Amino acid sequence: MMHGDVQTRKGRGRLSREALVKLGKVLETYFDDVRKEGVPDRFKDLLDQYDARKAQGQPGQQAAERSEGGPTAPPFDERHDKGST
Amino acid sequence: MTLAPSVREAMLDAVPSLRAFAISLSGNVDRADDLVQETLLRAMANIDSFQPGTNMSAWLFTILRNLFRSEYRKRRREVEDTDGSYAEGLKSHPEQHSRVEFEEFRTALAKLPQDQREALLLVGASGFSYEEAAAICECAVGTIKSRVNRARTRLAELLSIDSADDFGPDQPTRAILSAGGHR
Repeated sequence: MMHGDVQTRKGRGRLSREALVKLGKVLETYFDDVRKEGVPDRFKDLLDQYDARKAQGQPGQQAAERSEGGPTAPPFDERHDKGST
Repeated sequence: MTLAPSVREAMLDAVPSLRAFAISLSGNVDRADDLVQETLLRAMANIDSFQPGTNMSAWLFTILRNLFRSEYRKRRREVEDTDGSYAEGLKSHPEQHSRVEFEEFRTALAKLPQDQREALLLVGASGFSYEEAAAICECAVGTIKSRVNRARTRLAELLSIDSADDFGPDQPTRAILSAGGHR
């Protein structure tokens, strides 16, 4: 009947605040489970390989591009430079 | 050109969340990692079109989502892999959650329509604002909001988080909650 219909819709469309918080935590935990694994080596290697290929392909340009393109990016720590071990 | 250090750093920073998103979308770790790899390759190839100072993570998510969508259309007729390879693919499966619990959650997630699922994952788990999620999905902010709402409601139903009451002892979410919620 009308009354029941309204109730159902209300129940479907709106979650309690507590339910939202619970759901949020479930989602976060599910994601964090993967995030905890960090960055697999294959992706670091991928970027290294790309850089190496590019550097090899355009030996003359690299320095010029670096000095021109560098300042537009915010300063970051330079850990990447030690990545060749 | 080679990648600027800050660009490289920003890309790698985004990888853990990209993987989580990709795994949740595809339901399969190997496919997800291939998606992430393809995303990074595309990003590097098109790095000139990335605006320094804008959100690298959102840009990568946009690429990944588009890749997934086009791949999904291609693979549609193939048998979806929903038989538990998700858990097997994770290297360090956490001890505190049993495989079954994650499988149940993943199954519930997979029941959501794709539009809703991705909206929920972007806003509810990846930390994007409604505005950012709308940009990633190329739709209106209001559309994202209603997708997220519908996704939450449906997921709560499927997981029996439909009221403020406590969970039955056999609810899969219970262990996840207690492990994630209070240290």
